[in-house]
Amino acid sequence: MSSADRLTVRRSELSVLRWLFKPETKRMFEERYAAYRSPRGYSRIGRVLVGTWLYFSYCFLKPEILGVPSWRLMKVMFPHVDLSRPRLGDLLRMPVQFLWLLLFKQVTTTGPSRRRIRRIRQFYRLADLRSRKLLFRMVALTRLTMRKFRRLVGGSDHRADLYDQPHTDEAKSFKAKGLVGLPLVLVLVVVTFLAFICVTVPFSLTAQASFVIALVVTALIVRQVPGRYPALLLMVLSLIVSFRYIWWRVSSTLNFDDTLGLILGIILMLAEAYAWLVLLLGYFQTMWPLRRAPEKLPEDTAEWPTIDLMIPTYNEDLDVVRATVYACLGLDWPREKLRIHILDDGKRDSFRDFAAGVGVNYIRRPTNEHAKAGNVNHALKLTDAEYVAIFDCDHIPTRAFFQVAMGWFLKDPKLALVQTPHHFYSPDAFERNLGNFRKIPNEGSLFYGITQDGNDLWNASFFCGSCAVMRRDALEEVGGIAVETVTEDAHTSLRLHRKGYNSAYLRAPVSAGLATETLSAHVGQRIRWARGMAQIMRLDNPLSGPGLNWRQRLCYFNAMLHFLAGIPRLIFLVAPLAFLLLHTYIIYAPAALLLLYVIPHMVLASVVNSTTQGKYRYSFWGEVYEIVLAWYVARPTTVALFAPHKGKFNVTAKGGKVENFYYDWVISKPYVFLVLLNVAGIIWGVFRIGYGPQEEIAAVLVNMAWVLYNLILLCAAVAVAGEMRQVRSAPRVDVRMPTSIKLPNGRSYQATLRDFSMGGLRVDMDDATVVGNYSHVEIVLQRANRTFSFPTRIVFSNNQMLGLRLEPMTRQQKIDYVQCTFARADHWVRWQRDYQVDRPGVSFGQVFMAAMRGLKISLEHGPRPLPWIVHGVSFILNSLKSFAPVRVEAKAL
Amino acid sequence: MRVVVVRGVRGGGGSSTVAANLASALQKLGRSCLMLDLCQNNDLRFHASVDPREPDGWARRLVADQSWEGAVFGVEDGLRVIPFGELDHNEYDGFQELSQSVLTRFAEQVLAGFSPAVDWLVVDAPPLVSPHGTAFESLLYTFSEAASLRLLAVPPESPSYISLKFNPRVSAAAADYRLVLNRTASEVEANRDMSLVLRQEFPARVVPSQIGTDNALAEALLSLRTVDQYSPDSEATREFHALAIWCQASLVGAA
Repeated sequence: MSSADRLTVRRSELSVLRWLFKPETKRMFEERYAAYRSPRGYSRIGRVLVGTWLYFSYCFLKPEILGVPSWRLMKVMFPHVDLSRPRLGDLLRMPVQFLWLLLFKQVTTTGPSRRRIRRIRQFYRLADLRSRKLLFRMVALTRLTMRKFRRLVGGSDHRADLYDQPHTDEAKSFKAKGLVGLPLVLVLVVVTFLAFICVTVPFSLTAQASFVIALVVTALIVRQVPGRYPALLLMVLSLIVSFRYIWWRVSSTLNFDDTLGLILGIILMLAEAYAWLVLLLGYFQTMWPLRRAPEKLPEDTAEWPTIDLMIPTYNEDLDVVRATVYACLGLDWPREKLRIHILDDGKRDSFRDFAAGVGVNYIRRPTNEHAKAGNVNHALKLTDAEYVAIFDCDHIPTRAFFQVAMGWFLKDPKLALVQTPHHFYSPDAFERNLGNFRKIPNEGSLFYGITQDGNDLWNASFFCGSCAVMRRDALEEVGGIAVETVTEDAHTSLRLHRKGYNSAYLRAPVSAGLATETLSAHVGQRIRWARGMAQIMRLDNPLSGPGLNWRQRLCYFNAMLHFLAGIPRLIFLVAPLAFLLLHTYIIYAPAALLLLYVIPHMVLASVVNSTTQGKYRYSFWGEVYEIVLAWYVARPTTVALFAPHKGKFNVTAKGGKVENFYYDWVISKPYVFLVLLNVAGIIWGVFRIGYGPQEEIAAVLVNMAWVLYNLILLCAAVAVAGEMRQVRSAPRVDVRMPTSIKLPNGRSYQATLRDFSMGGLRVDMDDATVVGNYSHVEIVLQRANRTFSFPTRIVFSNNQMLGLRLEPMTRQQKIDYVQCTFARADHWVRWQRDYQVDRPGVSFGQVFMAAMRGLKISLEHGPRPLPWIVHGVSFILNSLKSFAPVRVEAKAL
Repeated sequence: MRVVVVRGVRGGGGSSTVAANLASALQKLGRSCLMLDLCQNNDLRFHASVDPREPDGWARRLVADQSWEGAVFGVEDGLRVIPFGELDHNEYDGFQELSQSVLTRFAEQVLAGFSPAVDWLVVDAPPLVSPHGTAFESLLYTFSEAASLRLLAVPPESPSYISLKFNPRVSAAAADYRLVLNRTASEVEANRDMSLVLRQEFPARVVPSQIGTDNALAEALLSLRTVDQYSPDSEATREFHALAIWCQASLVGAA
């Protein structure tokens, strides 16, 4: 039905009014009638109902009741009832709502109770501010005294040193920090002794309780103070509790009478020791992220060095590589000093022709050994620029990449590597399947936001395979990219560090890439990393061997240790079941004491992490990420630890599309099994509370709480396996930029660019009908004050929006398009800024919601009766919910 | 009162379009604006809904020895315009022979202010390269001296570039003008390159916001209106809005 037809129909609905009312009254009725109209139009009963109501209110009610125009009363009082399409349930809904309105006072926006709440809130805010101010003063005073003290013992400002010369050799920096002074050694000895006492003295239940309460309260206060010193203080507090916990676990919680319990207990304790070590090293790593700023390049471009930009590719789509090459062609660097090479390991003629077409170098390798590392090494032999930049074929550099990255090379002659973060403009499997893209920081943001920056302080930031620049002579000195392991990147930088070269990390997101599409691809990639790290540990262990200082050793060691998390994580997931199902005490301690030790250990660790990681990793999500990988990483890492030469390089597939929603049963099988185990544990636990011995109930409850926590995390992990449908093969980037649309008649209209991809764009307009019958429009995009327009075809449109597909363009136009969209220098910086700081409670809520989703998905895709039950239950719940009364926002009600 | 003088390099550079739409955009920003047409083409009034058959204007009144105040036309929402006026041959000769003091008095009276008060006076002045007599010279001088902002509407095309770059008289006259790139066409490569050249050659003088080619401007003129009245959601409206904001911002603190 065309819109004109619809108009006549609607007019005829009210034609009866024509001879009843004057034209203006009729128009008023028409307006009111339209206001009650639901999106799906009127049903027959609805027409009668609304008509009667409007007529009734017009004739019998005063114009305004309770501050509302009386004809709108139905809408205001029964917001959940659609009068234009009444349903049978409304017969119950309306009386319920009516009673509720009669009996309960509605909370209004300006009512006295709201005001009181606001006043209380204000009071708290004020008190909070005051206390912060006081704390701030106290901290400032402490810092001042510290500085005075330091000057007294003859040290210089530690931090300034680190900023000015991050990579002096060990002895010098020690001296500069004043660490060799005798008084400080004495202080160190005393502190170590005190710490030892603090950790090892056994406490009674009450003593431990008061100790813990004191620590937690201190931590919660210190947490309020912004800045890095409070964070350091928090770390110290957390360390004390954790040390105490581990000491207590080792010294007094093993049950030597029960063999099974002893074995399981030792296994759990080893897992906990691992987690504790990772925590410890993690604190060390992220103690003081360097936040290195880019260094300025010389004014004269003649002094700028030459660069070989390499884009290794093996089996990726040409479309993926195209965007990267176009972006590289627009890089802000003297043309004659930048050589772009496509390193094709796939021997594809289409790539060769494309390279010739756009005027970049094409290198094909006769053989294929050592995958990407071999590919780059082969190209190193054929090229000769001073620096080598490596971009994975799906990482699109922004214009400013080299401007940002190259400055430090010219300042520090021993600098061999500058790494920049991998920023992903498409959602990864987690973000897509959980629907939290750009709401919750993804798995990589912790590493690129904090860890690498922390490593940089210790001159241990390492190569991540892409978006990095390396000094050629240094790289050649270590024999090119390392080929012995499947994580050639980290291994290469390890070798550079061993040769005494420096590395730098710049946190600016100056490139953007595609995240791995599916969960299985993601898992595959992580398996490779984990295996590679385990290989490095065996073949070239950073703890031993020449050339590294102890800080670098620790940083590398932690990076590798991190990937061994699989087995310990699995142990934590099943540990409480040992007690619930097998009935052995693996932690041989009273429940209350256990809680007093383990809860502060966990709470303080998460307080520290939430404080230091803030925007980069939300509480509890790290565990979800880890659990998803745990099962799959466990075996390859163990194998690689024992047989490092086994295993091969598998390429991470990117840029595909998921055709339909499907549930990845294969990948979630182990987790579903674990979920079932844990559910069994809960059931058995409930049974034991009912029928088991009285004295065990506390222990059962503690273990059940643990199982519940595990269950939530597991369900959240299961939710990731439900692969959401992704229709477009070229991922779209959401933006909000002013742009304009140019019509063939020479008119331009304002528009807002909402998203773009390599294939097309979407724009919002105030009134998109101005486009009329034109099928082709031009979109005008800006970059650095220059405007470009690109020919597009309209693929869909409505009143406010146009979907545009790019028409075939010339090579220069394509370069300009990529420059105006993906390669805009300011684009990706905003993304990180948009994340909120972590709030653990909210974060747990999000994990919980994800878990509920996971539970529902896996039940829906389970064996036959389960989906029916889920649908039935959710239907009943939803319909029950629809009967509940709804709060009404009206002034006088 | 702040005075903006808008000129073109050569004729047809779109200076009256820029002047009228800029004034209208400033008016939209809540400032009260007056447009003054110093060009004998008498174009400015077309943008301001003045009847094309209306011959009245300040020059005509001065020649007839009448008070020019009668030639102020009110447009929509408070915008006002003083057209040049239509002069026949005799009147034009009479205008050329007007004594210096009459013209100076006119300029001083305009600059002295109005009631209701005017925040911005936008003067559409003849192009740099044009034959105009001494009468114009003195007027131009007075208004340029009083102007806090001098804009040159420059289409990114070679004639205006050549004049600006290689004609010493033009480049000297243009020295204290800011360049507004007018009629840029992002789909035309030559036009885009010329914009880039102009930005490179006069880096500090090119105004950041530019005015693109938009038929809405031509259509607005046909309907005797400014573009923000004729087509509020066209790109040109946004560009003039940006230009108006830039004008205000660049004069923050100036008297």
